[in-house]
Amino acid sequence: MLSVALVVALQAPVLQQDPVSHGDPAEQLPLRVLYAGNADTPYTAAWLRFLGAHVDAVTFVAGRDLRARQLTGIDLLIVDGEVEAHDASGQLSLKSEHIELALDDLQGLPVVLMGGQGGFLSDTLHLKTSWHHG
Amino acid sequence: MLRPEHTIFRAPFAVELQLEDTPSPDNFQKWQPGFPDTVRTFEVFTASGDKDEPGLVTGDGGFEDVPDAERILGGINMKGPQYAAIARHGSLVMWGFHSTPERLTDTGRRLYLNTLAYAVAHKGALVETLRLRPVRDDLDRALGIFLGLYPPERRLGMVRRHIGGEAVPPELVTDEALRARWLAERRPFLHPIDDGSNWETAYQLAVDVQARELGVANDAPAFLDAIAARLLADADDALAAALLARYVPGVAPAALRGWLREHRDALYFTEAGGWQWRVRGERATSPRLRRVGDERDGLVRLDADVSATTLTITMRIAEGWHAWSPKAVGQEPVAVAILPDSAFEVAGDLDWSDDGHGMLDGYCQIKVPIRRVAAGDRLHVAVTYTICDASTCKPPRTVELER
Repeated sequence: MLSVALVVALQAPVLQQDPVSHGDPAEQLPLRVLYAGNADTPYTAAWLRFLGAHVDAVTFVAGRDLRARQLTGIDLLIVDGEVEAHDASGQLSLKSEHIELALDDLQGLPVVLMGGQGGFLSDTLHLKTSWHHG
Repeated sequence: MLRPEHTIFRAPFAVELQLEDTPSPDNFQKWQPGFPDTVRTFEVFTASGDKDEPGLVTGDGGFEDVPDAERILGGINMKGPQYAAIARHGSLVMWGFHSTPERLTDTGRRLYLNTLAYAVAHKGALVETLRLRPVRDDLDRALGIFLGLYPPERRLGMVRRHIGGEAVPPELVTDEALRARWLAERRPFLHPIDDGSNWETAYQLAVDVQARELGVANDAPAFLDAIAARLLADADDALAAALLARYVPGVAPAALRGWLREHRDALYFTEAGGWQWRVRGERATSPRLRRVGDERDGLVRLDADVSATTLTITMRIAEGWHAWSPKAVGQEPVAVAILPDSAFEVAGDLDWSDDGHGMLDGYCQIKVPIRRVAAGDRLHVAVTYTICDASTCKPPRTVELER
């Protein structure tokens, strides 16, 4: 079920309202959201479904593929994603999407930096919200 | 750390905070001695039976010394009670919690949606200062909180990692009153010992002997007036010129009085942002250079950051592949060029983090000493590399980065 939903999320560039309930239907924000996260994960699919139920439109891009030219025509950029990876022996490592945006690309643009991937970008840009200072 | 009066709890959706008293984590009292035994909390996500990734908090040191940033909400964490999980910097809002949305509580869901709206409400807000350098608060915490957590035999070394430029009396480690006096005498004149390019000294503060000679704390407005007064008395005053260049880069001695008249009400001093006096409303200059063009190499990721004296090229080379530094005989080394449209030029020999025989693999850095040759921040760099595996080499590639 999740994988089917994810395929839909990744193939359709813009998701409209999702029929799955995610709380009060009155909780709507008139926003066009670009969600930059991990490609092809249940985590991403879950957040895309949630956002699809609460905003006008949400578009997905893999964080590593995000470029400045994709920031036009949106109201909000969300940077998110899981950061933990385990090898065959269970050894933990951190995986970054290595988002390449520069600070000038984001100055004045509404952005929500979620969790560890948001922290990685904060570190790269030396923002006060950095993980490095956490 | 909770600001329940903040608009993020009211608009556009009302967030009803069902506050509970939760036992404070042990680390809160280490971080902030005297912190209460309980802390007021509310649930953002329902508890998960599965092991979930941890969330993220960020430190409060230097966070709000300029009002381009604010902390809104903390949480139970492994750091300090003033650390923030929801915070804003310019138009960027941090949501440090991590889980899947189906586990959001009603409160958490509304708070999350309000967080999105709060970011949108700050469209156009600028990031004016960055977190680039250690601040005085860092030193206070190092000596006031963390020192006692170190084994006794390592405490002097710990102090020396934070204070440079003079001998640190061993008694400082054991005599709290002496330490407080010693620090108070130096505090108004502290400054980073260098520009942060050297990892060994990047967190060291030292007394700025020229600021101490001036006799005014470097973060007080009177500091600028004292420099202006010296320049008025002697336009060639070397001390004033040196301090001006250090603390107000970009303002010439002859222009200082006019600059002060024009901007006095908008001036602020930032430690985290580089120990400089700046004018409110000006955007921060990022040390990170931007890649030119969209073409990417799947085998090499290349980034560049710059300080006042050093351009650092970072290469992440895929496993099984390598490049070469000039140390390798008969190989085509990585070449770094600062292009002529830049305000900087190469000022010395490059430092390569190779394996000692010239091989660069995995995570490696090239440090390029630079010096300014023109006004402005323009920097345009070309990096040319050839990567090889055990049997073959790829054609050379050139990557340009700029700001």
